[in-house]
Amino acid sequence: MKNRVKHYREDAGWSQGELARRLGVSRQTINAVETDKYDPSLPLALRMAKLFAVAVPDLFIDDWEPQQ
Amino acid sequence: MTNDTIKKPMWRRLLLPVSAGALAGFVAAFSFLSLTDLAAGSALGQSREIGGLVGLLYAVTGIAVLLGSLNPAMGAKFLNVEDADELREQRRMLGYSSVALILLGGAMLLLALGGEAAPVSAPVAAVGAIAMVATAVVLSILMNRHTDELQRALSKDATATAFYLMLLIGGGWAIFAHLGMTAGPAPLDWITMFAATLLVAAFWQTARRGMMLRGPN
Repeated sequence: MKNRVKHYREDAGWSQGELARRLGVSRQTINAVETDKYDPSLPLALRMAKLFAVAVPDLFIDDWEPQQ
Repeated sequence: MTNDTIKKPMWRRLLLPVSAGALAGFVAAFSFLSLTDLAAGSALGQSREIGGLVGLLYAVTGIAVLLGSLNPAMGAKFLNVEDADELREQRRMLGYSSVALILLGGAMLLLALGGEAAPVSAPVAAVGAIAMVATAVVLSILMNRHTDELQRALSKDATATAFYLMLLIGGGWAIFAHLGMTAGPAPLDWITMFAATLLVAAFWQTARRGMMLRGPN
């Protein structure tokens, strides 16, 4: 799933290590999320959104649309 | 940070880890086969040799991770990490993991070399292997406290993949053996299959997520 974590992280002026520390995960996880290699759990996605003060759909982009 | 790092060409990133791994693997395998030939007077048999080699692979992998976590600057050159800091950040988890790997490899080696008409007596091999596996289990539980959700997700995926590989390889072998078309797996073969499929599955899942070549090396 595409995401804008890197964009918001850089806007905040944080390194991957700093974001990882704030979220209580490894730097490996932040890197994997930013490069679309790993979709975070719902709790971690919510924590990221809270940290950047945005809504989850602003952070994680899902192209799926409900069928009419 | 990774994305800011100038990436080397793939052949240069692979050169050192692959060369070091191949050399360490060759030396370890050659030493093991030579020693077992000397100790047993002749070859131990395929089951024991393959079991011992898989154990050796675990031990060599564990030693590489342990050395890398003790010396992150050096470890970053041959381990699959972003940089030396990643090894420093995960030192405790990697420490538990590497010692558990070495112990599991040691247990496999003891089992391969233990029993009747083998260099190590059955009681010594049994006590040693059980103690090593039990300690490895305790270390794995401790390690789990220092993992995060990505590492736990990888572990779960690898375990599931290993189960299906076991079903395919062990189950397939057992089917043919049941039908009298081949000899059945020896007890040690089952242990070897469990260990080997878990290792293959771990690499498979790491590669599937595109995380096999992470660092600039």
